[in-house]
Formats: sequence, structure tokens, C-alpha cells
Amino acid sequence: MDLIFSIHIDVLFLIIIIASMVTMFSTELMATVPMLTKYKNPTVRESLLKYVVPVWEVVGTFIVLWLVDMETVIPSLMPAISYTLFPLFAVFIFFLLMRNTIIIYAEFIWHDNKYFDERKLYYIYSISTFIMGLMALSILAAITSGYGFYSYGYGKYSTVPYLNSYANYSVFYSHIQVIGFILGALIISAGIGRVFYRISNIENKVDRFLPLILVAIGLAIFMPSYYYLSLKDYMVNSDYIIVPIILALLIPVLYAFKKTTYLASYKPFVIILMMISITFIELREYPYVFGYSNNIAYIPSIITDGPMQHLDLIIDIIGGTWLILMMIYYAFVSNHRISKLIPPEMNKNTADKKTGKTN
Amino acid sequence: MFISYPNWDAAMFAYTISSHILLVTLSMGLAITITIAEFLALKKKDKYYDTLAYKLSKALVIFFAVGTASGTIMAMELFLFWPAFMKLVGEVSIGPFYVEVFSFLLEAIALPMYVYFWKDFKNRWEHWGLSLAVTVGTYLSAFTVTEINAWMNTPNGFNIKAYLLSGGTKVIDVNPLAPFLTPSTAAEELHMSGAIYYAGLSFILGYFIYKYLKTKNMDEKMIDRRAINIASVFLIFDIIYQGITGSNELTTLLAIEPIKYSAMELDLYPVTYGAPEHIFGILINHHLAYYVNLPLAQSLLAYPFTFGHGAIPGLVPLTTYHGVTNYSVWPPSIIHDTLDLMVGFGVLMGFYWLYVVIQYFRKKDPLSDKKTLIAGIFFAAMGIFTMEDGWYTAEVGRVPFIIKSAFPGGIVLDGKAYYGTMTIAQAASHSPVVFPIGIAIIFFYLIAFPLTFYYAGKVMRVSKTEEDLKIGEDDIKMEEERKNRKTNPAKAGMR
Repeated sequence: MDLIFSIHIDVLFLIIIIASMVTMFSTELMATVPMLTKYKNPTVRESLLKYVVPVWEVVGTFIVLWLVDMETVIPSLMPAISYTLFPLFAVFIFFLLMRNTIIIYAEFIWHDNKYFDERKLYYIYSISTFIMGLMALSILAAITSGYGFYSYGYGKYSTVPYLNSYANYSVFYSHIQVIGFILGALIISAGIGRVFYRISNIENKVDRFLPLILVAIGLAIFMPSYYYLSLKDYMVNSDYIIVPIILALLIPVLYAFKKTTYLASYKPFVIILMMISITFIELREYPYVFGYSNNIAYIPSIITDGPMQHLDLIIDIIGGTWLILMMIYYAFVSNHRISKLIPPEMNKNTADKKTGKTN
Repeated sequence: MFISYPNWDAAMFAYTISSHILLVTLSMGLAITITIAEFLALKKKDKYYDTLAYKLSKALVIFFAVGTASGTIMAMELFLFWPAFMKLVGEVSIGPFYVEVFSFLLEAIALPMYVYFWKDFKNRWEHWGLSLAVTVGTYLSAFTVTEINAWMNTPNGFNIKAYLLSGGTKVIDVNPLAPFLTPSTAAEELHMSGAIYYAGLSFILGYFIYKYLKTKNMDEKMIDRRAINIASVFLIFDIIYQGITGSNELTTLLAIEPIKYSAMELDLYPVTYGAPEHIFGILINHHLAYYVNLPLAQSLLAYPFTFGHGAIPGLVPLTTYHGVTNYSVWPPSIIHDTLDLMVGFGVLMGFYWLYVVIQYFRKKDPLSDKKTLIAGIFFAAMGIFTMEDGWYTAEVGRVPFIIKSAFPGGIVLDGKAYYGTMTIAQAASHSPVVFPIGIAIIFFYLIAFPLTFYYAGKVMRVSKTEEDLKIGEDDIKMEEERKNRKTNPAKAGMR
């Protein structure tokens, strides 16, 4: 536990940035399956698009923020990450571009094209985002485990150059933990997504508990996989794993009860809970990454040190505060807009009823 | 091996940045045009300006979307292609990069609100504020990246002597705030600001002139004409500003980067008076050939207040130590020609705008004249080329170094002359992976670029002018109503 209490503020900020990035991207990932399966349902479609259409730009920026923060906090690890993870990043970026392009076409251009209509375009968007999700989860699993990775060039006394770093992806994907990590995360996101986008009908008994069932199954696959994926021999923060389990279950449990359905599906609430969960998942991993690679990275020994730490701290505080204020403003404007879409007579209680009618 | 690693890495990065920079300039140009257009719409109660802002905001989203992907590629590329350089940046000068990403976030959060929540703001000035946030965000991003560029030209913030003597392994006495303000920062920032907006607004001017000449729809013509007006007024002021800041940039180079300056002017030997301006020309066996001489011109331009009396440096003595000239540290002489092209095109564009201004004061309405407008397209293309050309001159002028010397003309340490802090060869990656990655990046831009411009054009074309004008009309009406409610609440309530 000492390691956590002595965690450097820059690393903590990086962890929060990663949690924000993963959370924001997950909210889009959650929309992919409903978009593919229920696009024709106008209520579901509206619920999905009202959130996804403005937010996709913000999500892209969080990815850049994550990359630059990595460069700032752990610059010596970045070349090894770049060399080993390039194929995953390349596929991710390709589909990022595809997703951006398609969503613009769907919004502004091809409303009544001969070959493509909005529905088909959003299908392509969903598939692109889903593949991006697979790549993002693979990247996280790779950094966590280091299976099949041979990384060089970091560490204070490293004499082997970066360019010797390479990865064997057949080794990486042959580990059942990696598959479990990806599959489990996808099932959890499917469960939370049904709450987040208010897709599950709480009037229907099966549908009411479907998110909870999905999240429970997802956790049952994800958590053991994650436990074995990270370097368990040295891990000192295993207790933290309980926090994401409780919070992940809390969301669908609250959703199942009429009085708390509205709260459970309130987007800022879900986003905050997800961010906290992912932060604790990362804290559990700290202080090692690439745990099963040839060269385990011990974070405290490779972070930027000296005066640069102080500058990072100042920028973290100012930039972080600024970012939070901007996000609050975004949420305020967004909520204000969404509230205009909901009939004025609809208050908190009637919202529950409405949620029950979505399907 | 068909190409060396450093050359491949440098060529790839030059290719990436010169592509990315086009997206950046256009995004910045769009952002400021949108801000100006909406401001004018609200001030003049003009629905055409509002519609213009609305149409352009859609195009901006497209460039932003592709720019994000392109920016992510560049962030990766920096580490893949320049590991040693980025390691030093991470230790000394990552600050501006880090601030840049928050500027980018400002833009990224404000832009979707501006575009997607367009109709949801009753207070149109609040909505306009978002466009201003996008403009400020884009500008700050460019500003902070230029700070890094300035640091590469005149590095500071660490003990460079100790770094050089240790063979590039010892980084001590780090001051992470210093890279925010290097000796070359001010001059670079001033010139960059004007250049980037000039190119961005040139894109917009060229596009709208083309549209204006093509369309038969009067409403569209009204919108296009407003875009031409905004771009033209901006470019007229900007070309004057560019002349002043460009001259300042060269004078700064003369003082703090004499090797680069001498290479740009092809000055082989120093003089204290009467340096001529060499127009074009090349170096053959390190001797100047095929050039046109303008006697005294360089000295007069460099020292106008002393009528040409002042020291002009020369490449040969600057790079000679113990009687041996180190030609390998001379920047490629092509930068002299690219500088001449930049200045020459700048002057031509200046003449074009001078003609437009004179015609305007003669009450001839030059921006309705077909020939003047067609010439405008030509000069708009020239503006974009000139920005790329200027960027090329500045960057190639640093070759063979990626980080130049902090000491004007270099420094001698322990009997060895150092003309730069880190060479491209020292910084470059020598991993075979850079070749397939580079090829993938070439294809990325080859595919993404034409598509991006095609999409942007298509978005502007397919949107129905009548519907867009209705939005403009509603916005103006909404603002009017809000103002009336504010100034006369009782009356408004009665209604």
C-alpha cells in the first residue's frame, strides 16, 4: 500500500487521464452493438445519436491527451511502446479516421444517397468503433501483461537501444487471459451500455435484470483474466480490485429499481463511476507495466524526474482544472439541450416511466 | 539500402508535417473566419454572415476530425522516427507540448458544442464565444508547437556544454520553463502567426472566389461575397504584417543563427558594408554560380538605419576551425532559392493587394471584377505555396542538425568545434520498422488528403442554401428578441 500513497502526482494524473480516455471511449463503444441491432427503433436511435454525435470529437482528443501525457510522464518508455505496439496503433488510427469520416458523411452528406443511407453509414461507424475498441483493449492488455513483448531502451542504466524492441503477436493473443480481458470488457460494456443509453425496459422482468446479468458475466470473465494478466507476484494493491467490482454492479442494480433508474442512467453519474472504477483497476496494476515481457517496467524508476516534475505538476493542476471546467460546461450545455428534447412535463419520476417504455 | 535511415526518417517526417500543416492552416483559417463572420452577423444583423459561419463550421469539423487522426500519427511518429530527440525533449522541453494538448482540448470541447448545439443557444453571443474559444485553442496549439521549433533552433534549459562534452548522455541543470522563451521564440512566433493565417485565409479566399464565379444563385453569391470580403481584408493587413515580421525574422537570424542566415543569403565571406543580394543561384564546389547580383541590397535591408553599414556574416569563416572548413555543417544551399521564392512571391502578393486597395479607393469595387477575382485564385494558391515554402526554408535551414547550437556560430569545447547540439543522424531511428511504417504513412496521407478536401467541398455544396439561410435568419431574430427582452422586460412580458 505504501507504493500507492507515495505515488507521484504526475503518475496519478496520467492514471486519471487514461481512466478518462477509456471511459469516454467506452461510452461510444457501448453504443456500437445497439446501433447495429436496434437502429430501426427510433427511441433507441435518438438516445444513441444524441449522445454519440457531439461526443465523438471529444473522445478523439482524449486519445491525443493520453499520448502526450505518456510522453510527458514516461518519455523513456515511449519508444519501446511505439516500436512494439505500432501494428495495434496503426489499425486503431485507420479505423479512427474511418469512424470520423463516416460519421461526418452520415451527419452532413449522404442522407439520401443511392447506395448509402444514414443507417448503413452508422453501421459502418459502429463496426469501425468496435474494431477500435478491440485494438484499444489489446493495447491495454499488452501494456499490462507484456506477453510476447521484447522491449528495450528504458530504465536509467539501459544500454540496449530502443530499436531492438519487438513484439510477437501470436504469443500475445495465444494467452487466454488476453482473450478473457477483451471479451470480459466487451460484455461489461454491453451491460453498462444498456443502462447508459436507457435501452433496457425495466417494465419487462428479463430486460430489467439483463444489464446486471451481463455485467456479472463480464466481471466473472474480466477480473480473473485481469488478475492473471498483471504481474501478480509483485502486486501489492490487489485489494483495490473490489472497488471496480462494486461500482460496476452498482450501476445495473440501481437501474433495476424504479426509484433509482433515472440516477443510474444519468450520464455524468455513470461516467464518474466508470472513471473511478478504471482508476482503481490501474492503481491495482501500479507500479509495474509490461509485467511478463523480457524487461519489466517499474514506473517509479522511469518517470520524468527533476525540475520537469514540478512543471508537469503545475501544468497538470492548471490544465486539469481547466479541463474539468470545460467538461462541466459541456455537460451543462449538453444536458440543457437534451432536456429540451424531452417534453417539459417530464420530470424525474416520469422519466422513470419513460425509460420503461423505451423498448 | 536505397536510402539511409536518417534520410528516410527526415524525408518521412517532412512529408508528414508538410501534409499536416495544410490541415492546420486551413483549420486555423476556418476558425478565425467563422469567428469574424458570426461577429459581423450579430453586429450588422446580417443573416448571410451567420449562414457563412454555419456552413464553414461544418467544414471545420471535417478538418478537425482528420487533423485528430493525423495528430495522433505524428505523436507516434515522433517516437518511432526520432527516439533520441524525443528523449531529450522529454527531459528538457516537453512543457510546450504538454500545454499544446490542453489548447487542443479547448478547441476539441468548444467545437462540438459550437457546431452540434448551434440552435440551442438563445444568447447568440455566448454561442459566438465558443467560436472564439475554438480560434484561441487552435492558435495556442500552433503557438506552443512553434515554441518547440524555436527551442530546436536556439536550445536552452539545460547545460549544453556538459551535454556536448558527454557525447549526448548527460542532461543536467534542467530549467523546464526556459524552452517556453528562447532567443528565437519571439521572432518565430510573430512570423508564424501571420504566415499560418495567410495560408489558411488564402484557401478560403480561393475556394469562395471559385464558388462566387460559378454559382448563379443570388443568395449563394451574397454568402460567397461576404467570405471574399473577410478573407481579402484580413489578407491585406496580413501581407503588411508578414513583410514586417519576415524582415524581423531575418534580422534575428543574422544575430543569433549566423550560419543559417549566411546559407539562406548565400554569403560565403563576411563584409561590413555593401553586401549584395544574390537572387537565386547555386553552389558549385562551394562557390556561388548562376545568380543575379543586386549590389548593396542585402546590407541596406539588414541595416536600413545605418545605410548598409553593419556586419554581414559569411559561411566559410563561420565553419572554419584551425584552417579547415567543415562543409558538412552547411545547410543545403537550396534554402537560398526557397527563401528567394518566398520573398519574391510575398512581394508579388503585396502588389496584387496594393492593386486591390487602390481600386477600392478609386471606388471600382475590385472584388466584383472577374479578372481581379481570377487573379485572386492564382494569388491564393501562391499564398499556400509560399507558406509551405517558408516552412521548408526554416526547417531545412537547420540541416544537418535537428537541434542547433545555442551559441551563435557554434562553440569550441576541449579543442573540438560544435556547430549544433544534436544531428539528424544522432536523433534518427535506425530500426528497420521505420520503412514499412513510413510507407503506411505515405498511403495514409495520399488517401486521407484528397478525401478530406473532397468531403469538405461536398459538405459545403450539398447543404441547401435556403435552409441554411433560414437558420441564419432565426439566429438574428433570436438575438434581437433576447436584446428586446433585456432592454424592455415589462413590455416583452406583456407581449
